[in-house]
Amino acid sequence: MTPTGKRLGRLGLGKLRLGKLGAIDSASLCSLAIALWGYQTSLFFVALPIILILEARHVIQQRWQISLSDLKEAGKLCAALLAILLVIIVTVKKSVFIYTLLQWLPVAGLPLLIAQTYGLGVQTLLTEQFQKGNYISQASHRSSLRQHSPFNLHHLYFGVCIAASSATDSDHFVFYIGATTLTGLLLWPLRPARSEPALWLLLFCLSAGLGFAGHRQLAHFQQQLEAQVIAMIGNMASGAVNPDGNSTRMGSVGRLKLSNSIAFRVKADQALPDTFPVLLQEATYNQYKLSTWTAENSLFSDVPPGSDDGEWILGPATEQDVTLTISTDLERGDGILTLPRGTSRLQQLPVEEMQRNQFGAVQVNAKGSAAYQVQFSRGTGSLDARPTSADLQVPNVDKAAVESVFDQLSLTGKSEREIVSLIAAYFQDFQYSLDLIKPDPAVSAVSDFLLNTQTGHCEYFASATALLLREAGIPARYAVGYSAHEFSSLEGQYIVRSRDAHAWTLFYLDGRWQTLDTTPPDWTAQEKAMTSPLQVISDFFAFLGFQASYRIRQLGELGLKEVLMIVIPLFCYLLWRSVQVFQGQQTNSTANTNQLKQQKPNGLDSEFYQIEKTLSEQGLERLRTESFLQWGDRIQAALSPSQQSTFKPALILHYRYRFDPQGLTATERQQLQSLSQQWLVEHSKKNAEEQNH
Amino acid sequence: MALSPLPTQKPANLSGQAVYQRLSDNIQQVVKGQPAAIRKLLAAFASGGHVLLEDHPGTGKTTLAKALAFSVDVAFKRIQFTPDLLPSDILGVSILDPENRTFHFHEGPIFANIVLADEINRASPRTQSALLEAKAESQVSVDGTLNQLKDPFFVIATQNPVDARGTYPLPEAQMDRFALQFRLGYISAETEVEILSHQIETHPIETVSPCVTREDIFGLKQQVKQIRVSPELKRYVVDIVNATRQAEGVQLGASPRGSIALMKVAQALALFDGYDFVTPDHIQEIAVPVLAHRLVMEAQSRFSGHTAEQVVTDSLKSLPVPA
Repeated sequence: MTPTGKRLGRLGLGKLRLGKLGAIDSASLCSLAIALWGYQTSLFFVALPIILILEARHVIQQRWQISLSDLKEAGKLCAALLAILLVIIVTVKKSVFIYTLLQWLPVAGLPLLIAQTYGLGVQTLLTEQFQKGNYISQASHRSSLRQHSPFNLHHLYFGVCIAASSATDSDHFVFYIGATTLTGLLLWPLRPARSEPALWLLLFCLSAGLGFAGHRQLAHFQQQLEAQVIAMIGNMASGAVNPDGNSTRMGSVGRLKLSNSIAFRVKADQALPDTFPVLLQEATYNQYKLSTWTAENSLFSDVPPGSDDGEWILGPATEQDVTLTISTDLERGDGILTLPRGTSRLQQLPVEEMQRNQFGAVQVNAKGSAAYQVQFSRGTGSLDARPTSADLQVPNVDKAAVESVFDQLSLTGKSEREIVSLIAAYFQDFQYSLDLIKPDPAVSAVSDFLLNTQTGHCEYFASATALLLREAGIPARYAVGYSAHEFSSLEGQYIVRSRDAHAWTLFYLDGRWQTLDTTPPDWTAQEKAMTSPLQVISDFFAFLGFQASYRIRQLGELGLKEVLMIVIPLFCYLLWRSVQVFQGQQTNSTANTNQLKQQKPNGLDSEFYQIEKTLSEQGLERLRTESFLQWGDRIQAALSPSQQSTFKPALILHYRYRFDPQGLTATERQQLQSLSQQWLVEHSKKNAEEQNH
Repeated sequence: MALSPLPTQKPANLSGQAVYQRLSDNIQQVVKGQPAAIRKLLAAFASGGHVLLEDHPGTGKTTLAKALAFSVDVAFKRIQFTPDLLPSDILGVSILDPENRTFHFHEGPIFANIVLADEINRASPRTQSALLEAKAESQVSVDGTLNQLKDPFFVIATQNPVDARGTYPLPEAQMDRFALQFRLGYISAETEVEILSHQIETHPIETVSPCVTREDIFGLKQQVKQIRVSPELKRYVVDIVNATRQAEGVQLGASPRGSIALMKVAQALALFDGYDFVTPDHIQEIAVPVLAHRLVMEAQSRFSGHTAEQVVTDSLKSLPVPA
């Protein structure tokens, strides 16, 4: 309650000032709103010139007649400014640009603000336009009652400023107080005439307080809701990889169903024939217990950035290195990068920092899509931590099964290389299946797989292989990732679908970790057989989406210089176009005068025009649509009695001179001349007197 | 005005301005508080156009028409339009004379100098159109014979804007043949009180006596035609009419007949004001009553409250005035 109480106090103080101010005019209100906006967004250097432009109206007395087409041009200029802002902000900010755009919105509205401030007849034009439009046809009946409050662009701009200052992370409290006070100032002159000022203020403060409380509650509610939703989604999410542990689907019942959606795309930079299929690894684990692989004592440490922007060095490069470009969504897999084994260098990866653990998992904290280049060496090992005793452990429940297979293959006494090839050969007789077979509850999943079913999916093969290798005394780990093997002729690159997720085994031999994938090679064919023929269509649309995101990213890679190179010609074109329009108007008007010249209007040399000129210099100018007689009636009060007495006869003579095809006689012509002269002399006398006073 | 009468000129011949002044004063004795309406009515009368008065019942439309007729000393007829009114009720009918065994044309009420067509929109379109030829060409064709109408011929039609039940809205062709359409409007309370006290004993219409002769009227009409219009102002008239054709929300703009009427009525106004030539102010003054009723608005803009009067006013406000 304290903040509300404080504000009440503040507004109570303001009441005195308000009373003095009475109705603050809309342009000043705009200046205040711009000041608030400048404070909130810290764009002082932009807000200050705008305020100066707006307040210069007290110094610059001249106003320009604005036509509807001028107003439309101003509107177009606003749209162009908005477009330019959008391009700049998207390229500079990249991700959350909408708030930045909102913050800069008052800049885009500047042409209309200037038109409203320094133009004549903008309100009438707008009011007419809005009454003409049938979209407010129902309101037009009421509009006759509201003639006193015509449509004013200052009010619109005021709203834009308030909205723009709301789109910041800075002090919410200042913003709320500022916005409330400004709204109060706006509404103060509009309050019902019969309402008491004190009561009105009280009610206004009450509603402001309620609004504040409601806003706080709403924000709180949103936080709660967000937490709930995140928890819910977290339970359901399956695509994410946990570098610390991976619970397999071994031992479950049912049928594995993986999505056909495209997870990421891989493109080889050199056309090396045997690069693909390639296994792209996300994480490896060293401890197996109850169908769950975990990475024991996983510790993440920072990877130092390379010399170039977006370059990261993971290991020493070799000459046989192959480079792949991986296009992916960085949020997929909780920021765990999908990398081939032996990755030495990453390029064009726009992330702030990168971490890796000793088991080869590389984590980044970034959002959005990226296409990064991966340099890796085929065949050579990676820099994963050297094997520990954990890499040789076989869980007790699986010990018997593993030993029996070990004996069956009579591996004792064979060399390590022989053992690896024997184990690989052993699994070739097994069946690949995505059906999860009901397990025997007394036997563990891997034992059941080895001894009874000999059928399963990649997780069975990888786990069983790892345990067999461990039994033979070769350190082994379990790796998860994706297999890139599907070439899309549409996209001209390899596409990796969610269903291509794979698991395989790593073993430590000759001082490096090597890959052993014992899953029968027909698993890819089996999975492909499950896809619907309509997959082609959704692939096509996925490709379109990928292309779009690629273009946007390309745009984002442009520097400020390139942006200016795009923007400046655009701006020049707009300028050129408006100059053309202006010239077109000029030629139009000359064409009109040409036509009039052909008709030869009489009496354009009338001395009465000097009277008009003199008076318009005094600010009593005649409107284009006003005849001399109407103008004379309007400005009558500003003329002295003697001036009034000569004005009318001179005007009638002028009318005859101009509009009577017979024209004036020579004496009448002289009369017009002398009357006009007389008037001008009187006028200069009167002016001199006024100056003396 | 200092007159230097020519020997051939009758001394009774009044100047146009004097005729207007007399008529105006005479009518104002009867129709109080409506000088602007009288000015418009007389302008149409002097320029040879017809007038459509659109106003609520009891605002003095009939009184105005009668006052004009009685002031001029010409034949006045009134036709009350009803749905069952037939063209022959207006134009007249050929009746068999049993003795001579010939058809004898019996003139209808249209054969008067001033015709008041009261509540014109209550008659069927067929009957309404009986007026078309009469108004445009001052003649009627009945049974194949052409009958010239009397000169001067002046139609004052009235219609009620509120009660639209059982009415036939005037077609555009009919509307276009009225030079002016205007409203009388309600008068101030003081004037209304004055009217009450005047009418306690007699209706003032009964006391009106002719103040000008038929010859004066011919003279007036002749003088209106002699008022000069500069090419620049003719162009201004055409520009105004053109602007109504291009205005937004207008289905049909004003016709060239509208331009002619605007010029002629402006000529009459210039004469009334003692000018020998038309000024831009005269054109501006009369543009709305001359043009507005000729416009056909689009349904959408009509429903959004956009009126033809507004369109003409907007056109005036958007065109630069010759000055």
